[in-house]
Amino acid sequence: MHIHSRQSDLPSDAPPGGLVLEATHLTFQYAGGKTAVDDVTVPFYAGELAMIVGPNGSGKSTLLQLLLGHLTPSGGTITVHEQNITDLHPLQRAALLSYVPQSPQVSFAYSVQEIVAMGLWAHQRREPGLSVLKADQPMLDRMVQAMWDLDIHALAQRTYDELSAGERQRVAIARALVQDTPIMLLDEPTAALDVWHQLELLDHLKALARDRKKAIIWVTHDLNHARTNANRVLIMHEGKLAAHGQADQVLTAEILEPIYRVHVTLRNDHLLFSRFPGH
Amino acid sequence: MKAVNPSRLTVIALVGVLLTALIFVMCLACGPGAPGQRTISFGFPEMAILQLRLTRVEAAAVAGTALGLAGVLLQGLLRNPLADPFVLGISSGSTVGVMIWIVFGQALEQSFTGSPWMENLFNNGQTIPALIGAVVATWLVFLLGRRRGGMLDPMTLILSGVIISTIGGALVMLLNNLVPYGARTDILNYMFGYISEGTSHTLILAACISLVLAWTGALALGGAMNIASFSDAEAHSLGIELSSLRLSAFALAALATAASITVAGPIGFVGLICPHVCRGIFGPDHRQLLITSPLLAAIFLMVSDTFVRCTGAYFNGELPVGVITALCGGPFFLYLLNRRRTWM
Repeated sequence: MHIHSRQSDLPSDAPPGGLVLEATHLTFQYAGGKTAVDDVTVPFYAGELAMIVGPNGSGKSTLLQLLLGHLTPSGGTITVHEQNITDLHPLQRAALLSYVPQSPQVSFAYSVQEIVAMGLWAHQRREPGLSVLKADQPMLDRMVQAMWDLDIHALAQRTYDELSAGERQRVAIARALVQDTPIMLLDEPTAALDVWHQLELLDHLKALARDRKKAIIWVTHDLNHARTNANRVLIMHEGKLAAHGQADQVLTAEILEPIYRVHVTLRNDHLLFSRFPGH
Repeated sequence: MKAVNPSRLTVIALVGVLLTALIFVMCLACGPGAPGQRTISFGFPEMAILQLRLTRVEAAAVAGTALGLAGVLLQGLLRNPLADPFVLGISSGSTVGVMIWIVFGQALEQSFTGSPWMENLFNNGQTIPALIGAVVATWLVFLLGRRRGGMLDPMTLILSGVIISTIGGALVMLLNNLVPYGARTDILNYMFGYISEGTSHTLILAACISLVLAWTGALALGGAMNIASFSDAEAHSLGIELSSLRLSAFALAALATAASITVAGPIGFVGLICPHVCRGIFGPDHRQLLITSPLLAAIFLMVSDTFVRCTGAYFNGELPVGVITALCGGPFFLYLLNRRRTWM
């Protein structure tokens, strides 16, 4: 099965921000030989909420870790703010890109507050006048604000091992918010969140994209969520970028059916999925 | 707000150093009443005896500090609270070194008589072979513990350490069968670690310098080590250069372990338990642990060795200090585990 790449132009109501991150012919092969990301070329713009969707194993998370600069591409380049990402020191990268993993890992029982404060590491290191140990007032304010935004202020003194999966995810998001970077990469950040917190997070990130011109790149499995909220949707399939463009142009039955192997119908502006008869 | 601030760190460091110094002096004052007698005297003895005690307490302080430091570094590096200086095969490496020395040393010594430099080397007994063995084992584990691309990987590192330990254990047993019966007690004593009055001052000084270097370097890594306890991708995204951090932590831990092996042989449990106790009291922040754990370990080893020194008459000769650290440390560790029900 071959899916034709369908690259619609940037939507006419595209956010006015400039190019901040760009992958060019990006390829990544795991040590076992599996090609997880295959010749992906895609730009990202300031002020947009771009959502990456695709079936399991289609290369979404690998693409995200490549964009983060954590994995080294087997081929192609990533340009962030007009610099090749491999030329940047980790501290410089941490000033441009923040990351929320699918399931955050912490090996020791730090308190919520300590973990959120670690988002300030790169910032403290970049300004030689600041002590490593001392956070100045604007930074403390930013921390407190992030903890309020993610509704974890009441958990500040709790240790990580006492938190639920959803609370852990919110702590990781708060840590990324504290980093205050122009680009945010989130890998299924709402997977463990209840509906109320999902909507809160969505509103908050939309506001960051709109008002502060951040580029938000969000991996999700929820196609209706992407359809309603994303400025732009990218569909990954077998490591390739199968389609990208405005949500209503790419999240169509014609494109989704062969990729997801399900029957897709649109009813009341909502995508419905069912199995093909005979399967 | 419980966040670590510089003044809290300074207070903890000052109180810790003072407490360690106090216990150092108390251990110096404590000793058996007379050789072979079952009495314990408290007070400063005549100069000659004080000199002997000083050597031992110094050696215990240096070895303890080094083990407490290496424990924090390795548990942080491997993201594994079960790690200690010896999980990486360093202890078994040093034991193999000593074993080879016991089996082949005498023959070598005879063929080298006449060279003053070599005689000096042989006078230091098991220390040099122990160090060589530890260095070889560390180097092997380091080579095996790297992932494609050259970065140290915690899981690969632990597995390599366990395998090197097992091979080392087998080599020790193999060599053991080549040794005449009399020498077998030596190796048993060595394997548990003991501190001797006869430790040369040059060795203590060398260990002390290595320790100061390792500790100074380690104190600079504390903040980064906190962040390195997240997953690799998270740590990277927060600005940590993981490959160089891991290399530094590994090298500093190896240097500290070498310092402790130089003066006390492979003493178990101290490096495992002290970081845990400190984590329980002060929290998991490495900037604090790198100060508190070495000091606590120094106290633990000085007190254990003083106990061993004072109770020789009860046990038909002194116990290796490693027996006491394991016998006290083991149950205490189980108590902690039972209380917290978590390895964090």
